[in-house]
Amino acid sequence: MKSAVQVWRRQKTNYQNLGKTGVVISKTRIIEAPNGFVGPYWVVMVKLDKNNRVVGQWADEAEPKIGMKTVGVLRRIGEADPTGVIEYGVKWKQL
Amino acid sequence: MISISGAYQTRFGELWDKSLEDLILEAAVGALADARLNKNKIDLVIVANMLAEQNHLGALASQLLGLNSVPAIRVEAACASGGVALHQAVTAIKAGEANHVLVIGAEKMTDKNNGAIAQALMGAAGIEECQAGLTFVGLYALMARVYFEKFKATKNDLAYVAIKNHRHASKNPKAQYPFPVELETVLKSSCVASPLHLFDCSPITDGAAAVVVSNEPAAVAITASQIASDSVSLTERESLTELKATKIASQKAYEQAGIKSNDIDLAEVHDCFSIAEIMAVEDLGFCKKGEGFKKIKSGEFDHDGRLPVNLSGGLKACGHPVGATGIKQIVELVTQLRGEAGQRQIKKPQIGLAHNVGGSGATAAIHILRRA
Repeated sequence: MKSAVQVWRRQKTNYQNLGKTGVVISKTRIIEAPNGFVGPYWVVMVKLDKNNRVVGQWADEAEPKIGMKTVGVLRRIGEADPTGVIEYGVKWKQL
Repeated sequence: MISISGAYQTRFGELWDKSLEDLILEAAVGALADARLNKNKIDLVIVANMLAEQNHLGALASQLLGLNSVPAIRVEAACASGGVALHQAVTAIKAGEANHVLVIGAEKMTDKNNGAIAQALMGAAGIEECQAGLTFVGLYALMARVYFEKFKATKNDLAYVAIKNHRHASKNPKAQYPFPVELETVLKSSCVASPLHLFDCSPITDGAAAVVVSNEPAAVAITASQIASDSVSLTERESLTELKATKIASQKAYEQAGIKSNDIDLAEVHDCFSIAEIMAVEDLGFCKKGEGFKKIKSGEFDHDGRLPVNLSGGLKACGHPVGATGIKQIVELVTQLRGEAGQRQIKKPQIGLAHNVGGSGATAAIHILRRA
């Protein structure tokens, strides 16, 4: 379960990749999701233009493809948990 | 000489009538009986476990065995808890702090539902990986996809890991799935996290295993014990198609034992997912990088192959009670090296290697055992 304070603290880092661009280098469609998420959904690994890698959920209608150019956008992270706290962060869509 | 003087594994599976305490006690008593050692000779107890809500497991194991005052600790390193616990036992003996160490690996997984287990296992991953909704299957799926691109492997190539390990498990009465599977069954199994399907994944398992590590000669000696670490987050790794921790720990272990990878007669490797066994046989130096999937398919690591891998059935078919796995690997090697493996016994093995991985590769533990 997320605590409100934990989500508040993470805000400092949750948006650092907002608007950044990169290329999809790997992907997986999660069918069996962990608690706090409702599957299925795609998760991609993105190589950013500065060469470091990040992982995040795919937030586009088109299926992600290896080599696809992508940009970080603001989205809700996971489901609201029983405390009612909603967490926001960065997901990825086709550029 | 540091030896394994006693070894025991409980049955692995969905053991609805067994609690974590039952499993710990059965494994501990079994290992002590196998060592023919009075329990009062034990001067250190180490419990390997990842997921238990019950804490304070060192003292609890000591209480269950009626060992009142001995030092008793718990070791946690995700799925490598067992291998790291054994390394701690060796370290304690080398330091002169203990002569007989009881190492118990135990995990009770079926009390949680699938979503809760997936979430709990992600406690061994990076925070950004949890926020992405990844699972451990998902993390290895990301590695598999990169491996496919780089080495021209396909989803179908992965199937031969499960087929081999199920065939091996069919001769292991303690395995969770002691039966062979057909190619078609593997390929048609449901998707968990693409490209990995159900038969690419180790199962949710209850079980325990224990060994007695002694500072005196016994039938099987520990000739190398090494651990190495790497970034918890997959994104921080140098390469996505190898586990650096495995490479480093195994190179140090070969050096410590004074052997080369081709001196190994049998190995238990960490096949939490099919792609993990493929990378493991490469990273351990059993074959070249990018050829693991071909060698597994061609039978090189079969029971009657050049270097039998996962004769127990591996994590896939023997089962993967996470904290117990690293110790179960040792129990299997000891059983083989003593010539007590029954139907699955290979001919007079001398040297065995155990490879135990935590998380998506952040910890690797390597042990090399030799028939004394």
